[in-house]
Amino acid sequence: MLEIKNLEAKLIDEDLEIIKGFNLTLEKGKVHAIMGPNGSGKSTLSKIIAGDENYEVTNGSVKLNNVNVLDYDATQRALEGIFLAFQYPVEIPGVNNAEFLRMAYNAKQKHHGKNESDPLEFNELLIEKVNQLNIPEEFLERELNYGFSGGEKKRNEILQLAVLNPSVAILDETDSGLDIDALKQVSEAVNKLKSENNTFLLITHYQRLLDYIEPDYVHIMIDGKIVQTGNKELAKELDMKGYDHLLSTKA
Amino acid sequence: MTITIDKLFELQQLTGPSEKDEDWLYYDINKLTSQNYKTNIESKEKQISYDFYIYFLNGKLINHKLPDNVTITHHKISPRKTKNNFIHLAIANSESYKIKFIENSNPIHLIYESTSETFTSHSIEIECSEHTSNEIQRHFISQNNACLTSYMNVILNKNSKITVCDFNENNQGKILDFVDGSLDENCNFFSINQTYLSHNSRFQNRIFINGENSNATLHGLAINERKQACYYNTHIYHDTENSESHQLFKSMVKEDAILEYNGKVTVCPKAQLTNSYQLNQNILLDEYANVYSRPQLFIDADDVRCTHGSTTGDINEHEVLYLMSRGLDRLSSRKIVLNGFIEEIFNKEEFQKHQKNIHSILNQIL
Repeated sequence: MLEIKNLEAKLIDEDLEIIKGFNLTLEKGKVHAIMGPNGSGKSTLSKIIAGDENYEVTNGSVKLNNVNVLDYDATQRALEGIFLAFQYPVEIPGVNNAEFLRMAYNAKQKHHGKNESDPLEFNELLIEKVNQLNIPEEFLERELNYGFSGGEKKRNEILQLAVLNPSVAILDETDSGLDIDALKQVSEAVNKLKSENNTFLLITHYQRLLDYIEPDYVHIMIDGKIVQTGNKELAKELDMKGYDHLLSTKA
Repeated sequence: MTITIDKLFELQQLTGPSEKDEDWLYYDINKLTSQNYKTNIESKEKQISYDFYIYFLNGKLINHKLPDNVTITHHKISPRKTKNNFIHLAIANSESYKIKFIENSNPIHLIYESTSETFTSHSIEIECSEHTSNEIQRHFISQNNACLTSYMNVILNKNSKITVCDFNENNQGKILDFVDGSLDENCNFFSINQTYLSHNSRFQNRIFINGENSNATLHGLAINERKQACYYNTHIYHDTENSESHQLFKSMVKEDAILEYNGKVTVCPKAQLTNSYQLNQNILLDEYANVYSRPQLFIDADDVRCTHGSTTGDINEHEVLYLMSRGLDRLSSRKIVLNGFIEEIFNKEEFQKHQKNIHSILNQIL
């Protein structure tokens, strides 16, 4: 579904190479997790896939259904089915959450040649989604992420994910800043959204997220590339041993 | 026949403001006062579509229609002490009128129109009787190379409220507007200015809060490009205890456009428990636009809450990326961010219905 090959990329402002020959294939219906120490390039990878123009890809490809999306801007990538749940979702004051979701939903509908949804019709869809995900309805009337707590922002990202129904969902440290109950709620929501038609890439530091969302594959990323791949047992092993042994092996 | 504003000042034995005056620091005063303006000006009636209105063409009251509970009379206006002699010039060069709201009234539209290359003045006093709530909508029309000046003195008697909405859009001429407001006890003064794509506009407000439990709220939004300039000059005087003021001015500017916000709040020694808020926020849409922002506080009382702030920067590209990552195109995303930026200006109930649709303006400048 999403195939990343020999990806090399740098932060333009600092001319700093961060992704150094990254390879990964995300399969339909599977959940992948990437773990790794701070500064290994996990969040950078997610932003590059989503189309953040602060990074320049110097080599490699990111193919979604065999089409290299690196030629696309962030809008086109989203319309084709890539979704990034941001680690730090930005607050946009003055923009109504429900209205924004309707615009985003309709942009996707239009892109796929489907009918756009009017406010009443879309409201029904939204109510269905918030109920399905146990998200308070008052989220819809608030300004986009504005004044939201850290946990509320993450839940709002999951609501967007549910409404936009992407084929590739990347969750960048969605568990950070969540208390135990919120982590459980977000994880339950993600489990409800998993299907045979989509793939999830979870970026996390902690094994506890993977207790709730069971990954099919766990990858360890160090210094801009995958150094080891395994199953959920690998995450448990990391939880006990840390990254030191891998860093020393690399050295 | 033509005349310069310098000459008009001279005839009235007045002196115009100079570049040394801090309030005129960024205004090209010499260019304004040395230009020749027409004096023999034709005026003719015009059909106005508003229910209630007063229509001025080239400084002359042409026609008006007012409800029974609003009166208009000739009136000699004596402005408060001011260094700004444009106010005296506006009064000296115009027929002065007094509009009195006896009871609550429907909105009154004041239309000021100046034709090309003219210098025109207007002076009006507005008085709201006790326990009344009223609204004035002012429409400025200043054609090519015209200079339209206006002085409005607003008197709010006890327990009264006024909302003043200014519309200044696509004007090719200059506008110099001065508003004085005096508030007695339990009064509310709401003012909002919307300036869009207009050549050169200066709006000066002085609000004197003399009565307890009164509030002045001044909002302004300017969107300009090319060499268009908008100067907001405000001064709120808290002269008594327990009063509030709120100032919020925002702008988006591009391509050598100028925005100046020179806002002052003075809290006099007896004005304890004053609550004052002052914020100016600007977005520079390219590297050539200019913003001069000076929020200032002069506090002589010790038990007050006064905040002031100013931010100026580019459009937030993180916000744009966030919206794009949800499938919205770049232009739409920028528009959404900018619409969100201005939303706060219209949050107050008094201003909500007056928000102009700026869709086409954003299309033009983005």
